[in-house]
Formats: sequence, C-alpha cells, structure tokens
Amino acid sequence: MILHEKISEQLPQWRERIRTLAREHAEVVVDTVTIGEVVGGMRDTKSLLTDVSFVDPAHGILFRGMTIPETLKKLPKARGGKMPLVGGLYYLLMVGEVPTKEQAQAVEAEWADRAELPDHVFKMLKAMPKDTHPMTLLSQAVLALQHDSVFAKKYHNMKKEAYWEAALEDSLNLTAKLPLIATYIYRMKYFDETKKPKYNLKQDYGANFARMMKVLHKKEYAELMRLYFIIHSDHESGNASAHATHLVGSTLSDVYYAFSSGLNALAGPLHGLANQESLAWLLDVHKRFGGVPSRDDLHKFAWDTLNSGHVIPGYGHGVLRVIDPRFVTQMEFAKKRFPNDELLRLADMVLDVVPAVLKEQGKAKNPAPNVDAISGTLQYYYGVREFDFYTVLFGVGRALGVTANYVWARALGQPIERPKSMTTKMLEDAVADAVAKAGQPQPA
Amino acid sequence: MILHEKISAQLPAWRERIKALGKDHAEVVVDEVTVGQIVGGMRDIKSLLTDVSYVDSGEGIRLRGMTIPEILKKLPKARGGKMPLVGGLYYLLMVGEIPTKEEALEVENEWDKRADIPDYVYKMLKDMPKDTHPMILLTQAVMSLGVNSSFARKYKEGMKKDAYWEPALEDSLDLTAKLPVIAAFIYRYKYFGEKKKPRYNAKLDYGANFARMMKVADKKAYSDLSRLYFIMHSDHESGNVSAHATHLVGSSLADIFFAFSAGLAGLAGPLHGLANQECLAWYQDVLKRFNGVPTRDDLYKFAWDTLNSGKVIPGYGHAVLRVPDPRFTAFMAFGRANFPDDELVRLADMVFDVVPTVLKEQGKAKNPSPNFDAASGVLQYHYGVRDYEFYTVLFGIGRALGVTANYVWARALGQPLERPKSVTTKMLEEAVDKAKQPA
Repeated sequence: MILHEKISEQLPQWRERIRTLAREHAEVVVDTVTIGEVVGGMRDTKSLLTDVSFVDPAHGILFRGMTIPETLKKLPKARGGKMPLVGGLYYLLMVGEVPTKEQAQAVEAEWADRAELPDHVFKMLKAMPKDTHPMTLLSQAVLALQHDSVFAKKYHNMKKEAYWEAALEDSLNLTAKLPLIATYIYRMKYFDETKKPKYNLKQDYGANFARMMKVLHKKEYAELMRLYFIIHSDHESGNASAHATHLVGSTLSDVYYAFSSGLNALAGPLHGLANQESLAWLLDVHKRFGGVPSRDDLHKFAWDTLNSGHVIPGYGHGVLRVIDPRFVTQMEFAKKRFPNDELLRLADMVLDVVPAVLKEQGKAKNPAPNVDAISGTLQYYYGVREFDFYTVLFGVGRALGVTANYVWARALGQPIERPKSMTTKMLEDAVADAVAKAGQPQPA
Repeated sequence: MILHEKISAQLPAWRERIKALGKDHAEVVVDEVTVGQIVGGMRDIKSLLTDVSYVDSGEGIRLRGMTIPEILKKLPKARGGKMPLVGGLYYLLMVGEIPTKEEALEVENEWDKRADIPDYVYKMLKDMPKDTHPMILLTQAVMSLGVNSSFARKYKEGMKKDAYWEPALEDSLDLTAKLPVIAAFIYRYKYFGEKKKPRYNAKLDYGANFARMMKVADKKAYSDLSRLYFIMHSDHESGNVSAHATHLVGSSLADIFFAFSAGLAGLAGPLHGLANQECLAWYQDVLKRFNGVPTRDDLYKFAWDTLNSGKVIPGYGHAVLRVPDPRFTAFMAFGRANFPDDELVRLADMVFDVVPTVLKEQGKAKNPSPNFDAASGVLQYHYGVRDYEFYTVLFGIGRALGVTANYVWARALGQPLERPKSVTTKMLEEAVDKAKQPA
C-alpha cells in the first residue's frame, strides 16, 4: 500500500526529531498560560503538535505547507474534471508530498476496495426514530464500524512501533465507507429510500458521492464535492472536531471511537452550524426583499441585523487577516458555473457590503468572510437543501484530516493527553499573588 | 427540582467571580508551556477550569473540597446499607454542599421518574452483532438518547444563553437516570442472552436498582458495592480524557448525549479504562501460578520477575499521586470488611504490602503506591461480575456523575468553545534554536 510505504520511509527521521525535542529540549518554554486563556477555553494556548496543517493568518490554512490555491493547482485532477482527486489530497495529508496521478489513483483504488458496509450498520440505522438528527446517525454508524477495527483486534499483540500500521488500515476503511454511510443516511432520512448504495470502482471518491446522493447534476456536483471535501479536510489541531478525535485517540481508542467523538464535536452548534446559519440568513434576506435587494437595502438590513444584537453569520474570523481562501475557491467555483443564481448574486453582494458595515461598526478584528459564508449556497444550488445534513458533509471531509493526524500521532508515539485543571479559587489566588508582587518595590 | 433551585441560588456569585477573572485579570500568568509538555500531550499544562473536584498529589482526589473518607462519612446512607446514596453524591457534585437525607432522596426520586428507556434503544442495540464490545453498545445507546435532548430542542427554539444550563441539567438527570438500566441490559443481553427490558424499581435507590437489574447473587452486598463504586469513579478533575472529551465536545454546545458519548469513547481506550482489567488479570495470573495465594517471598520474587521481563505491575505507580490512592484504600476496606477470606482480597492485600517495596528498590516509579485500579476489579469479581470488558461500562456509569455536573456548570458559567493552538515540529525546533542563542 503506497501510503504505508511512504510513511515507513519517513518515520525514522520524524521519530528522531520528536525524540530530540523531548529528551534534550523539554525545558524550553514556548508559551505562557494566562487567566484569560484558562477562562477563555484554552484560548490559543500553544499546546498541541501537528505537522499536517497550520493556519497562517496571512494565507489561511496550509496543508503540509501548501496554500489552498497551490493545493488545488498541484494535485492531480479527476478524469473529466478540473478539481483534484480526493485521493490525492489524502496522499498529501498523509505523506506530506504532492502525489503523481498514479499515486493519487492508488489511494482511490484502496478506497474502492474497502467501500462496503456490513449489514448491521444499515439495520442499526433503520432502528432509529425517523426524526433522529443525521449527525447522530452518522456518529452511530461510525461506532458500528468499530466491530471490525484492525487496531482494536491487534492491540493486545502489537508492538508500540506498529500501532500506526493498524491505525492506517482503520483510517482507510473508515474514509472509504463514509460516503456510503452519508449518502445512505441522506436518501433514507429525506427520501425514505433504504436501498443500499453501491460504490462504483470506475469512479473516484467525488463522483461516487455525487452518484450515490442522486442529485440532478451529478457531474458538476462531483466536482463540487471534490473541492468541498478537500477544503474541509483539516484546519490544524485546535478546532473541536480535530481535537476531540486526537484526545480520544490518545488513549489508544481506535479511530472509530476517536472520529465518532470528533463528529460529536462537529455536531455542536458553535462548530458545525455556522454554514447553516449563513445560508438561513441569505435566504431570509432573499425572502424579505422578494429577490436580490439593492446595495443600499442590503446595507441597511445588515445594520438592522447588527443593531438587533445579532451577528451576520459567516463574517468575521478570529485568526485570519485575509478572506478565507476556502471561501474564495467556492465563490469562484460558483461564479463559473451559475453566475446568475440569485442566491449567489446575493452572496456576492454581501461580500461587497458586509465587511464595510462591520468595519464601520468596529467590533470585528477581521470583517472578511470565512468558509461558512458560502458553502451552503453551493449545496443549495445543487438541490441539497436539507440544512441539518450539511454538517454530515463537513464530517466526511473532516475525516481526511483527522485520520491523517491519528495515524501520525500513533506513528510518533504521542502520549495520552493530560492537561491539568485548576479551580476558580486557585485562579483568584494567582491574581492575589500577582497583585501582591506588583505592590512590592522592584529590585534595582 | 432541588438541584435547579440550589444551583440558581449560587449562580450570580459564581458568574461574578468568573467575570472578574475574565475581565479584570485576564493577563495574569498562571503557567508556562514547555516543549516537553507539548510533546508530552499537554502534560500538566494548567489550562482547564473546574470547581467540582481537584486532585492533590499529596492526598488524592477531593470532590467539592472533601476527601474520600469525609465523603463516605458525611453523605447520607442508603437504607439498610453502609454506603452513601449515589443521589447524595450527585447533589454534592452539582451543588457543592452535603445534602440532608431528604435532599439526597429527592435526587434519587428524580432518577426514578426518568429511568425509562425508549424502545428503539433496545432495538438498535439488538441490531448490533453479538460480539460487539459493550463500550460500543453503551456509547451508541447514549447517543441514541439524544433524540429526546431538551437542550438540542430548546437551542433550536432560540433559548437565551443564560438559560443553557437548565436544559443541560434536565438532560443530565435523564442521562444519569437511564445509564444503570442501559448498562444492566447490555450486561444481561450480551453475557446471558436475555432480551427482557430491565425495570427500575421506584422503592429502591440507584445502587440497589443496579444490583437488582444486574441479577447478581448477593444483591444486598452488591448494592453497597455499586454505591461505593459509582461514587469513587465519579470525578477526577478535568484533565483525564473522559472528563476532558465530554467538556470539549460540550463546549461546542453539543448536547450532553453527544458530549458524554465522546467521554465514553475516551474511556474505552486501553490507556484510560483498561487498567483495572489488567490488574485483575495479573492477580489471576499469580493465583494460577502459585495455585492460590503465594507466600510473601514468592510474591516478591514474582514481582521482580514481572519487572525484569520488561513489564509493569498494573495498578501500581501513579503519575500524579505520591500517596496510595484513597479510592484504593476505600475499596480495600470494603473488601476486607465484607469478604476478608477471599483469595483475591488476600492477594491484593499482600501485593499492596510487597509491590511498593519492590518498586522502590527498582527505583523507577515516582510513586510506587497503588491507584484504584489495583482493587476495583477484585470486588466486582467477588460478586460474580467476571466479564472483564464490562468493567469499563461500570466505570462509565460512575464517571457520568462527575462529567455531567461539570457540563451543567460549564453552561451555567458560559464557558466558551475550547480552542487551543497547535504548532508544528519545525516551530518547536525553531523555539529551541532561539532559546540556545545567547541573549
């Protein structure tokens, strides 16, 4: 298996680097922790380690050091499409190099080999009530796959150095099966279909997904989903879905347990709901004005939204100082294919108007849009209009990044995550200490 | 509901304290982060906040400021038992005060009312393959209960931030009420092929209900053990993986069913929830090898053999504590009081006597004392619960008490989405280079 070979080759060096850091430089201080960070939810405390991706404030997310435009340009493309093969992106995340077309297809072929679901998964999903949230179904289905975990089976007879190999097997199985599970949930929940979807060996990941979703424009939707899965794959390690996957995996739970936890975090409104809220806001504007409003009307409406104490969903980013490139690529994708769609025109106008309004208001650090301000618009255009399903799509993409991290965490022997907690009183004591110290005369 | 009233009454003062810290003292430094801590898995980075429990390295866990012996002494006891009502412990964790017997019974009463399991949960569990791990079944069942989450429903309806904790409490009471029923069903279903739905008896407390639904032989004694067991496993501050995962997922405003599922998934990991099984297996190994409890000298030699073969003695050596885990002490006291002649208890006692000495001689372990895993399996085994992999499920029921209390308070105090920062290996190497340069 190509990923196995490529990771094997690199491992000795990586292990050496980590060992050196731990053994010889453990005492080097890289950050301080303030009360604001503790009360703020570990806010920006430098405490996690990953080499898969990094969020650069000036360029947005870097996958293995590459920007989104570079990634989209350099990765080998799907046949008959302009978007990269998802298999190529997985190769990049896992191996750290841009694959050749053959290498990307080797990953796609692995997926095709593994893209079958055991019967009990369908049965279990059908046993759940009709109104179950699709994220609950997805997360349960992932847990149901644990039954066949290679890692769990081998754990008791496996050396520590071999953990990553079983982890890679599980990760390939999981990512291969997710499109089947997600599309089954989609067709079952919203269309009452309980026919098992079939993965077509001749098609790539994106095309299979489009076909199994049974959308109208399969070819274009395949392209969209290649793009969508790639840009949602990873966003360094501190976001809640990546962190939860890593945290649970650090106990040597297999990737099914771990990723199910990541999905649960994604199901939280603060993490995975923003794209739905953005779309709802756009639709609200569209409805209120009976179509695309004038620039002035939109300007006024945006102010009304802010003045009523609400935020404009999808706008304002905590880290980036530029427009989220994941927004830009989706916007370009849409403009090329359906420039006259009203919702798209509205989204474009919002991009023009809202940052200015936010600047006038003066609250947001960066008034530019993030990925959530646009992704719903594209799904909506292609007929995927069940809002609560959008998080499932996010989850399928996110699996690519978190499983790459999971494999490397095992390969590099990352230990169980175990931060320390404090009580409110201890923080207050720290304040009292700091105040007392500040009151003392400074040493000359 | 008593917990609701009591928390309401305290909330303004707590909110004021947190606000003051966040607004007026945000810049005060409480810790430094080193390369070793990052490579070591956030190791001991002071970064989480909880007032429910705290682990002091010199004395072990304190729940709401109270030691284990204090808790066992002061909490109101179950009728006809020597151990406290689990409902009283839940009150303590949630409210921060020792309840009266009436108050503890009121929590027990709430559980009675909420202990019914919807039919689809059973159906879903039965649709899974027979050899599914019980922790998968438990986690799936918990997740499936999310269909009826008050929090998720009210969030959708647009509830105010100040009110988040109220449906969080509702959900937490529902979840903790249903866990013994789900766990007992999984046990009887998986290991005895029984499909009958267990029924919670309103006249019995949490511990007694669990013992009855588990259908162990000595129900009365096992009721007391279950009370003790759940209380001991309830909370261990916030940095352990099950507590942290629950908190992390909950911080995204996912409901408690999603959040606690993640906590269980963390507990299912061998490094977290497997130690008690490994301990028991080691004891069994000793008993088998010596055809019963060995002599002190034989045990001493066997312990050295274990170490010399590159293995550890499971349950001994604690990363944080420098004293015997008080939860271990409480478990051993229970075993000695109730079945002093049991071979495993006698062996566990002898191990406690011999192994710390061996570990000291070896000189590797920071603290050679036992943690609670060195005793908990022994007690379960005595009462006939001998399916090792089920022990993590029992741990999970207990752990729910602590993590749900934390979840409710995190919502009540508006704890934000957890969002630490990650760095790359290269950045750490650059930090090292920078540190090496002369100032």
